[in-house]
Amino acid sequence: MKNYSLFNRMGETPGNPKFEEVNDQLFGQRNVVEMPPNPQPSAAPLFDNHNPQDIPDQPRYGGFSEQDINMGRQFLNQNGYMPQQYMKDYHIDISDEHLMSIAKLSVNEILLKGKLTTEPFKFLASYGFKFLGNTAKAEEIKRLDVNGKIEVFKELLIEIQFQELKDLQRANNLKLPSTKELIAAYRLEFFDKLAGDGFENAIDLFEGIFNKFKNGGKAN
Amino acid sequence: MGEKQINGENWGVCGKMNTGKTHITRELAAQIQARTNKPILVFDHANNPSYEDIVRVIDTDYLVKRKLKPGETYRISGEKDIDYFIMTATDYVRDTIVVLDDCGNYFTGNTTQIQMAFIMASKNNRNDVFYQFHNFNDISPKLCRAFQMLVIKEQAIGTIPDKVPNAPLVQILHDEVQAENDELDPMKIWSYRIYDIGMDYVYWEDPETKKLTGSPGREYFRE
Repeated sequence: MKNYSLFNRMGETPGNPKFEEVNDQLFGQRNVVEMPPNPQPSAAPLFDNHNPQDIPDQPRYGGFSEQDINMGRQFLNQNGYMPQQYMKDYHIDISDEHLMSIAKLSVNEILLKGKLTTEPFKFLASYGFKFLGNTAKAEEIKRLDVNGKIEVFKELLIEIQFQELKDLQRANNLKLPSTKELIAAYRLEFFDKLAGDGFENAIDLFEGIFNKFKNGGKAN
Repeated sequence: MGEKQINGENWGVCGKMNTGKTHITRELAAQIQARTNKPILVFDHANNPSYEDIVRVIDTDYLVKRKLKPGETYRISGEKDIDYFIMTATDYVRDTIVVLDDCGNYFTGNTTQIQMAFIMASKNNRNDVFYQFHNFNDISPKLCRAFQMLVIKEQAIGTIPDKVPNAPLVQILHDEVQAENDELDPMKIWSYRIYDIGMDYVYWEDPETKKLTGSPGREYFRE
């Protein structure tokens, strides 16, 4: 039998006879839960065949029906992104109102509605993320500023000040990248990247970090 | 039918020094790993020699950068920023067996938000978490209430506090363990019970065959 790990060095093996009689009861089926069947095993087509006219007239959250949200959330959970076609068909544009409505359901999903391409900090800033200063880093970034966009990064080390979002997070147990989480994510290599490879690569790194958040914490 | 998913559980492993907490934890973790092929991550903030044989020593930032490989065993030793580890593990560790050695030193007093997030995330993150500590009095009430499984060894303080789920029954199990240990070589006081709180099931080791037997609590405690 495969020697699974160094945990077995003490003499325990996966087939440890001590557990023979109780194995299934102690470790077995009781934690196994049946997940809802996946309606679409492939990535994209979940919303491709829908008819927008069939959308029921349900209570709306700033432009989204509850059904929209649930379907969107289901798709997000399965595929990690929101298809453009879905957004177009459901007349979802990226307005503040819509985003804030969605925020009341899931802060995570905000990050999916906006394309974090070249100006992620502006995107975040537009929804109330305020970046406070760190003088030393600000100077360093200023020195590296080659195209003006880097101004957005000046206040990198970070206080999220949008009280409404924080309140929502607390009230609904939503997941929002906290100050410390962002710093933790950044401090690994962001500044090295910025100094060594320049702005665009640093942006790529930033997107990677946020992809993690939008994938529910799974690193890409 | 849909896919099957194995959720994680919180295990409390309680006992004073030299009662074999680490040994039983490693056995249990190995069993879970054998069934699930999950990686094992030992958080050993105090450099416990019992875990020195685990050669894959990583730091907390490793969890951010890399995914733990199935079937492997890792150790984080001597981390000073325990909150940072807890927070990072909450966000990045999935489908893993996590062993928190000597956590009575930091899951104490009132549970912080960071700690609570970690405790509550184990099920959804499919992490089996083993909290090792010396005495139920050391750890926070919220953590006590989050245990689905208890491994009860002899405590230095023999009274089980009310904050422990089903405290009177746990007290019975502890007293049995203590009585068994009184008959043993003082260097081998390794008796224990495993109590599945949710399923109300008690497991004990036959002293001769060394095999575990289980019984529903309603029958066990009736005797």
